[in-house]
Amino acid sequence: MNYYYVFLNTAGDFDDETIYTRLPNQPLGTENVGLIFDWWALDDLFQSSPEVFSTERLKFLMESDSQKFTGIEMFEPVIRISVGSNWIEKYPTARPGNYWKVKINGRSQVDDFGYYVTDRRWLVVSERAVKFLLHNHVTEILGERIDIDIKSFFNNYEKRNKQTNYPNLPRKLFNLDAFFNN
Amino acid sequence: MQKIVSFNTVLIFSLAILLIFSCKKDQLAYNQTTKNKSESAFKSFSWSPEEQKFFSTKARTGKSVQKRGGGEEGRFIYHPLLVSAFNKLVEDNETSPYVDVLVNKIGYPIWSESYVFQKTSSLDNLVLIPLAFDSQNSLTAFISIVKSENRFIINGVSRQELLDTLSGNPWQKATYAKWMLAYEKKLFGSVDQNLKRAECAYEFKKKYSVQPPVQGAPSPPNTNPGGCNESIEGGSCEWKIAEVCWNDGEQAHWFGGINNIPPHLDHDNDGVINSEDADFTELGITQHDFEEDVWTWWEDEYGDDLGDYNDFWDGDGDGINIDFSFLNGVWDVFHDFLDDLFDGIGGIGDDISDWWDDITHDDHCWGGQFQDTPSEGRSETICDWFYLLDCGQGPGSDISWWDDFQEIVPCPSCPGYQEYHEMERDRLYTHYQTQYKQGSGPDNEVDNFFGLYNLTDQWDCDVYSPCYEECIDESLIIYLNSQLNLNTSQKSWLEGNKKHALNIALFLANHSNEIDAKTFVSKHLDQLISDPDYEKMVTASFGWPPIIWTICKELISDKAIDIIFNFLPGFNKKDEISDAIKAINNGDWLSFTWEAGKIVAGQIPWVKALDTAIELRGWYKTIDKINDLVSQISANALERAWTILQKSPVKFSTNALKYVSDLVEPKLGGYFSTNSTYNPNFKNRFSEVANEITAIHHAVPKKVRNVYGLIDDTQLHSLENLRGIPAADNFHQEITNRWAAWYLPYDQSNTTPSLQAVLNEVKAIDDLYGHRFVPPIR
Repeated sequence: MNYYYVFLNTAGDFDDETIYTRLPNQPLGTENVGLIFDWWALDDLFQSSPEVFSTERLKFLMESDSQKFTGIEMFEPVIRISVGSNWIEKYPTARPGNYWKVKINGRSQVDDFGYYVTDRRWLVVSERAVKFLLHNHVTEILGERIDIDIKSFFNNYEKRNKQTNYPNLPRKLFNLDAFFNN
Repeated sequence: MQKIVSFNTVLIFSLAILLIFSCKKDQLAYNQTTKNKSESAFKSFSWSPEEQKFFSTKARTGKSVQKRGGGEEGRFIYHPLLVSAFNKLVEDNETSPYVDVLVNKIGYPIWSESYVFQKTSSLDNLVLIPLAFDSQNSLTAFISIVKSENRFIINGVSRQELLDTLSGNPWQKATYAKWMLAYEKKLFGSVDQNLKRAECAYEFKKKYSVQPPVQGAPSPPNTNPGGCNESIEGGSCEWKIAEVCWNDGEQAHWFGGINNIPPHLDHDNDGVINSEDADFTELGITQHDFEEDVWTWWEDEYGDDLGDYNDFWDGDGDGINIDFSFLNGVWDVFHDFLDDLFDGIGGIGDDISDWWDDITHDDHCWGGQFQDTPSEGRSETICDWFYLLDCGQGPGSDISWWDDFQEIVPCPSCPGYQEYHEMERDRLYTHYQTQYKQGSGPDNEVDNFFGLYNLTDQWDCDVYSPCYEECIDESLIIYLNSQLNLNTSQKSWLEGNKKHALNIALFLANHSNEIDAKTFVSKHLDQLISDPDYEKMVTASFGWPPIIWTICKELISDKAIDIIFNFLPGFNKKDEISDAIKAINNGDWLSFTWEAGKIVAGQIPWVKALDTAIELRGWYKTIDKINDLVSQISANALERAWTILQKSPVKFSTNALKYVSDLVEPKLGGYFSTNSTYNPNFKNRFSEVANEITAIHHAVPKKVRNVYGLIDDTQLHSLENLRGIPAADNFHQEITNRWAAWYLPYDQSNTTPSLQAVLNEVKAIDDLYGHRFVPPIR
């Protein structure tokens, strides 16, 4: 089975009522989440760090019996959805929709969704799950196939970042533009 | 016999060597019978008539030149360096003919009067070739040629360039002006006062570009009970300054220090008028006979050049022989000439002085008798400087003139001001600085001062008068009234706004022959009086930093092109117009708008410069707002912002210039908007580019407030924290993704970054994307 490092596009900011959990030796977490959108999320699966969110449509598809993706502990509803000034200006009559926080607890290269942890968390997704995402409105995600041992892969990745003093983002996993350009 | 022949051969050879290598001047000898070998070294080609004349080495230009140059039939021995320079010019003309064009502009070289310098111990050399038209008793230009190893460096300077004191290098032009004055004195026996004045201007620029002008040139006490309020035209008394010496061993006070004692009074030229001057009596010659002889001698020797004896030695007819500005002017040339030649062309040695003596011999042969500082009796005398108020009594027939002065006031600061024009320059400059100085730039300062200096030439203001400054002020208003027929309010306003008065006067002096120029000035003056904003802007423009002029020119250039497009939709010389307007001199709004108006009118024959100039002038408020920014930021910050915004439609927006100048480094500001208004507020702030913006980005992201609590809501939505994302190039997702990656270690360790770490990342993003934001910030 192949696995991919996946970097989800960002969308939405937490609203003022969102609660941040700061437990000892635990990463930053959130409760009572509300999101403010300034633009439409590019994909049905996206991040507003430190959390991952999905659209309602994708949530229900991922939960269907036929998929049986591992590594997802649960989906929590986003309690409040609002929009920012950019959204109001561009889409004054539109509302973003319903979103769900995706709680991932899987192990990298074991589950379909898991985190590889160094000084940060790297989302690692199985090829099966990546194919599903690409077929279900998650086409703009960034990432790279992990084709060496995972420790070396992320060591090299971080080394490249430090050398350039710039947090390089991976390329798009599926390049639609390239398809049309070719 | 053999020995004699050999001796003669050696003698002739030695003479030839001596002539060729020891003398400095190209015209080494005049020989009617022997053909000079150097002539055959001149190259010759098949030339047009003009070229033949241009390269003719016979003396021929002007009667005066022929008269002094040895006659057109004469033959000359030419210095080898001159021959080389000549041949270089000939070859250049063969390669690319220039003579036929050149002769129409500057006439022909006077080869026989060229100056050649060559120092055998070094490579220093110079060939200076004067040019003139046949029919004119003045030079038109110089060609200077320096030979450097096997290469020639050729330069030229025209009379017109030398008379244009507002441009060019004063060090170089002062030297050339002196050369031209000296040449004209020698060749034509004349001194062009305009050229002399230009030379003085260069000297002034030289002096004051390295050292501030002397402050507080001495002025005499005002003993007039009516002060200076009385009419400047009234009164017949005049102040003079003079160094007066007492020689108690003799019978008289006497003037000394400057060569101002007529020969008939100071016969032995010792600077003291005493009994020893009557030495002729021992020969049985009476004072009357002696004076007759002096006058006859003068008439014969100098009458043609210097005029009547009494007029010359008593130029202003007051019986006091002090005003020898003409003579002193000549001596200025003598004294400064060699040093300045060094400065101007560098590295040329003292040997020039011999040639200089040749060229100036006619001028100072008589002066030589009087030029030495008197030493005889000097130890017995006491000298001091005084202001002397002369009310016209004059010294009478004897020398007991001392008591004829109405006021005699010690003037300890007078030394150094023996020459009228030096006192005039410094006293006027002091007054200029306190009352008329307009701009802060050195160019404007010198040019404007010299504009005033030139104007005062037409006015009868006595620099030795205590009321000199008042006279200048009053004369300026009189001049303006003569030009504009001022009404009472205009006159009153100008009296109280001297900087504007001078500005307008200089404009009139420079544009007096142009149609509608006076009308333009009148309208300008009326607007100054009636529109405080306009007055504020024009006053400020005197001191605008260069960046404001740059922006002003860009704005006026754009508006000028708009005007032309309205009349000529197919107009395709946009760049030419823009370049022409940007080439107008800085420093003077009045002249700038007038020149810009003329440029526009030059493209549309049926449009008047007056109308376009007035239309362009209407943009003053925009420029004034931008100038106001300088007080909030700095000229340097404004220049940086202008460079960034130069291609943007918001380049003239003070909001944008301020915004960009604020964001050299990331910055959080005060209240500007809220979570629901930052987008429209930002677009309203930069309405010129609102349609180009698709989203507003928070440079310090919302998470830094929401999660880390490092900033507050006001800072988050402050203008300084917002960036415009272009619709045509939406990279907003890239930036937010980058931030998501940046947060990872902090979120994993559940720690909070420092605000400085956040701002460092903001700066990295600004530096990377800054040129793509709308408005751009990099």
